[in-house]
Amino acid sequence: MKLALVIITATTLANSLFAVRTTAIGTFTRRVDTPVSKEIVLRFPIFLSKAYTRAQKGRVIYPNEFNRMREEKKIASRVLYAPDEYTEIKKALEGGDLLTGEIFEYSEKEKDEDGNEIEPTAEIPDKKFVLVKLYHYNTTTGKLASFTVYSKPETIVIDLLRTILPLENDRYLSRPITVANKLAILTPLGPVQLNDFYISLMAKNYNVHALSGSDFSTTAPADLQPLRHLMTQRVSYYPPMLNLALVPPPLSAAGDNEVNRMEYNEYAAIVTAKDYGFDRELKGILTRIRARTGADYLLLLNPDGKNSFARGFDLAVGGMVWFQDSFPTKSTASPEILESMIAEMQRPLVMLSEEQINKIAEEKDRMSAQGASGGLASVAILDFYDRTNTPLYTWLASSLSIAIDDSMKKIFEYDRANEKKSLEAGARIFRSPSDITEKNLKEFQAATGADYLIFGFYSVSAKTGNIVIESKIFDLMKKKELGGSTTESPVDVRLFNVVDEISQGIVQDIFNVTQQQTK
Amino acid sequence: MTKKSIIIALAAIMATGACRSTRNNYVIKESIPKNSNIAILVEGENDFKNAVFMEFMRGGYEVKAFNATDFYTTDDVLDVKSLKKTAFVTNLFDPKNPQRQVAVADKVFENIYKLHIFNFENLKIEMLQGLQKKLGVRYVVLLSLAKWDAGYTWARAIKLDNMQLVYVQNYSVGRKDDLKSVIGNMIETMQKGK
Repeated sequence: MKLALVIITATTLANSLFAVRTTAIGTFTRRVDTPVSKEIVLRFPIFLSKAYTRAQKGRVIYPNEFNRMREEKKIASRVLYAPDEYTEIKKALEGGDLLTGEIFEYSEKEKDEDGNEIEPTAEIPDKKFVLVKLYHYNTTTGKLASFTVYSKPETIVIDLLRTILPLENDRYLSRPITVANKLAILTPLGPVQLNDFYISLMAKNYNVHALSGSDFSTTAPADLQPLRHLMTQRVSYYPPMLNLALVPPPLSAAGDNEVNRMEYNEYAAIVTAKDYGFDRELKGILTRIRARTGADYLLLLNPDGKNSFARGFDLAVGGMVWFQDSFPTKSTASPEILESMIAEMQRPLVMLSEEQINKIAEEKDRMSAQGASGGLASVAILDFYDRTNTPLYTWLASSLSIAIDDSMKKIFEYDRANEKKSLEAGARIFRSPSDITEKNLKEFQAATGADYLIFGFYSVSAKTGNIVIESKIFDLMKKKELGGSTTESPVDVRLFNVVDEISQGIVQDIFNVTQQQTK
Repeated sequence: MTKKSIIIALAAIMATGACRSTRNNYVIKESIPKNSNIAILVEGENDFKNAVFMEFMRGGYEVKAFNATDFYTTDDVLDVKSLKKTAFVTNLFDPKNPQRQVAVADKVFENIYKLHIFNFENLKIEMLQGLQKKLGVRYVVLLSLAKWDAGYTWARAIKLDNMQLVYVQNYSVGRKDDLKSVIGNMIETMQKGK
């Protein structure tokens, strides 16, 4: 009995220690549906899931699954939520994280012979640049981390992976800061304590460049607390807030418009200088610190008990590369917390190797090169043939194709070929099962543009009275059958389980083929 | 008091004394050779500062006249905390339109403060590096000997070429130490190097 209790306790402990963290992928907004935005919306979740699985960083909840959870809880579809909405999301996710984003695409402005920029035409240019803003809400810490990723259409999905992978539960570190790096340090310690800290660092062979300690002034930990939350163009870290954007003074209907305009201009100047200019100003200051000290990183270390935090800035790039608010130490004494901070900034990332990332990139490129609709597999699903010889089950013909479509969407990202065209071509070309010939498959592909065709037959078993479903999948590009399955089910709720099995089989067949193609 | 408790008390006093006299925590990246041009920043009255400067001059250093050019002490003329506060308030205050400032103060308040914290450190570096250009100073030595008779002193040296910390020392003053021996210990450490 005791042994059983110990085993149960140990299992529970192990489960809690190694609990799989989930990351739900929410709304990704875009101004227009282009192949690039479509690829980000559909492919990024797939590759993030692959990367997280390989790096053992937890499970990814696909957008359709999260959307269902969101709709059940009546939470709006948004990129950024208000604090109380995030509380609802936390309940829905039961401790997971939420990743949302904004996709912007724009073209490089062409220049004329004199070097003047030419305004882009209304047509979508071939060479487009992509900017994606990722927002990661951690329900455990209650903090939002945002990242701006600027890339090209062909590399954006992998760049998004590279950006988000270093983010851990309570630490973001773009790369470990090691003893080889030169450090400038800002920390609120008294002189003797500061000396002890510097001595411990220098004894470990760190090159320390004086920021704190270059005079007799000391800063209190409370003075540095406002620096806990920083919003910059590239990387931000802050708690959710009400999006109360500053609005300029309204223009009145008549007479004093000019006064309002002047007031607005003044307002705009202040906002630009003090708010939106923050990023530029900070970058300038960091660049000057680098020029004067030669340091690689500026570390802002605030050992303040439970309110401790560490921030690291890459002085060459001018942006935040490390943020962390909790440290593995039993003591709340400053020296121990500082020691832990230094250990944490060196701790290797839970990340994929460059080789693994390159493999994923190659996989993505191969996938993009295949199929229609911007690289996504285009799948046509026809109504199933009714071979029951009874009007009782006519309804199953379209119900099965709809159910398979729904079921497949849960586990596989694809582009369903135009339904109307597919059904029309299917009814015309495949009048009976014997019509499935190479010639007809080619004709169907030409009519619909689909890569894969799914359809099947259903009949009633004379022995059991159950419905027997025979599904088939065809590769329309190679004009051959990829696979299929025959399953049997009573016509009740168990039929849905059978549909899920059929979908899984179909997806597996498609995966098998793509794997063979990509070897 | 029993014999046993007297022994324990004596042992405790001796142990305290031993700790006090042996704690000399320091690290030095490179020695600061004699004849180096140094600026010494030290807190204290002028006669006290003179005593410190003399020891460094006797130690062979070229002590530049910084922090020793007038009758005021550092604390009198350079209250760094006040400087921080002044800069902060100045940034916020716009005499042309104080009302508008109030309207956006909530939004900009934190950002100004954050920038100021970073820039304040930057300005200190700029000021120290000015010593190199104007006075040819190579090292700035910061010393706190004000509480040497209370038991502790500290020092650090910054190489102005790259603002690198080259020497840091916390020295617990022993019972036999006097001001001269404390500074002598620091100078010896600086010159001896590793």
